[in-house]
Amino acid sequence: MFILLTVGARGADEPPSSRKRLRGLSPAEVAADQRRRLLAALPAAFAEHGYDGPAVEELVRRSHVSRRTFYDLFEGKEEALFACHREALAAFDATVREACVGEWPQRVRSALVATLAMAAADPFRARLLAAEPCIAGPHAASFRAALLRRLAPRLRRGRRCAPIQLSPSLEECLIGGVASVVLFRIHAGRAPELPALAPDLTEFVLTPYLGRDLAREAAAG
Amino acid sequence: MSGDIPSSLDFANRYEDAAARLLALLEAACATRREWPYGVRLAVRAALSFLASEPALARLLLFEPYDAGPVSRRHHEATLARIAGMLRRGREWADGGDAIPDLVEEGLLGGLIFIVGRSLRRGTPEDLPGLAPELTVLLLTPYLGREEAERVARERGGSAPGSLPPLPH
Repeated sequence: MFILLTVGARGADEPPSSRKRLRGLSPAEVAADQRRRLLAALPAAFAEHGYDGPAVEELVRRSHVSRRTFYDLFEGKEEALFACHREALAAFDATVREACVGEWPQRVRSALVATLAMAAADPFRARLLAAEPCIAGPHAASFRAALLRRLAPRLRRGRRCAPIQLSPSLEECLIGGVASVVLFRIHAGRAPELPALAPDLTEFVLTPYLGRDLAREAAAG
Repeated sequence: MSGDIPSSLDFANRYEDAAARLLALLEAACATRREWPYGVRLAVRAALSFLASEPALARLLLFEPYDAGPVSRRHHEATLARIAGMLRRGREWADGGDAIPDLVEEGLLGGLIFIVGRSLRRGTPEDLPGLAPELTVLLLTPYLGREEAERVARERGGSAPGSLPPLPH
C-alpha cells in the first residue's frame, strides 16, 4: 500500500521489480520513466521479431511495464514506433548539429565520427534511423525519406567545392552507402568497430566532391 | 514482409534462384567487354532491365533478405560480395587504386540499392532502365574520376541495345 501511495496511480500496476525503482518519484516522473523504457525496448523487439511480430505483450515484457501502462501512453505499437523514431531523429539531429563546425569537409568528417559513435553505442536505434524494413515495417519509405531530408542538404553544400556538375542522385547514393556499411557491421555483431571506419567512410563521401587526393587529406583530419 | 514468406526454406530457394540469375547476367555483361568500365556500363543496364522486368524478384532480392532471418541475410551478403568483387577490378584501372578504401565497393552497392529501392517502393520499376547512365557514373567515379566516368557512361557506341546480353530465364 505504501508503494502504491508513493508511486502514484501510474505505477500501481507495475511489475514488482519496477515498483522498487520507482519509489519516491512523482506520477509525471514515473510516466516519463515508463515511456523511456518502452521506447528503448521497441527497436530491439522489432529487430528480433519483425515489425509484424512483436505483440504488445512482448514490448511490455522487455520494458518491464504493464500492458495497461502501455495503452495509457500509446494507442498501439504503431504510435509507439513513431514516437521512438521521433526521439531517435531528435537525438541524431542534435548529434549532427553539434558536430558540424568548421569548413564543409571538416563538418562531414565530424558528423560521420559522431554518427558512427552513436551507432556503435546504440545499434538498434541506428537500425531504426536507417529505416531497416524489419523494424520500420510499412513506414520504411517515410523513415528513409526523413533521413535523406536531414542529411542530403548538408552534403549538397559540397557541390560548391566540385569543379563539375555532379549526379542528381549523388547524395542519396552516399547516404545509402554509408547506411549499408553501418548496417552490415551491426548485423555481423561488429558494431564496436564502427568508429574506426570514420576515415574510410569520410573519404568515400568526400571523393565525388573534392577528388581522391583532397578527400583523403580531409579524411585524415 | 516476413508475413508473406511461406517458409524460410522456400524463401532461401527463391532467393538463390533469383540471385543466380542476376549474377549470371552481370558476369555475362562484364565478360562481353574487355575494358572493365564498359563491362560495368553494360552490367548496370542489364541489371536494371532485369529488375524492371521482374519487380517481384527485385523486391525479393533487395528488400526481403533483411526480413527473412540471419541465414537469408548471409546469402544476400554473399551475393553482394560477389558483385563487389566485379567492381573491385576497377582498382586496376585507377591511378593509385590500391589506396582506395576497402569499403568503397560495399558503399557503392549499398547506395545503388538505396536508389533502386526508391523506384520499387514507389511502384515504378519501369523507371529503372532510365537510371542506367547516372548509376554508371556513380559506380565508375571512385576509380576513373568524375569526368572519365561521365564520358564512359554517356559515350555513344557499344551501348546499343543489341550489345546487351540476353536476360536469363
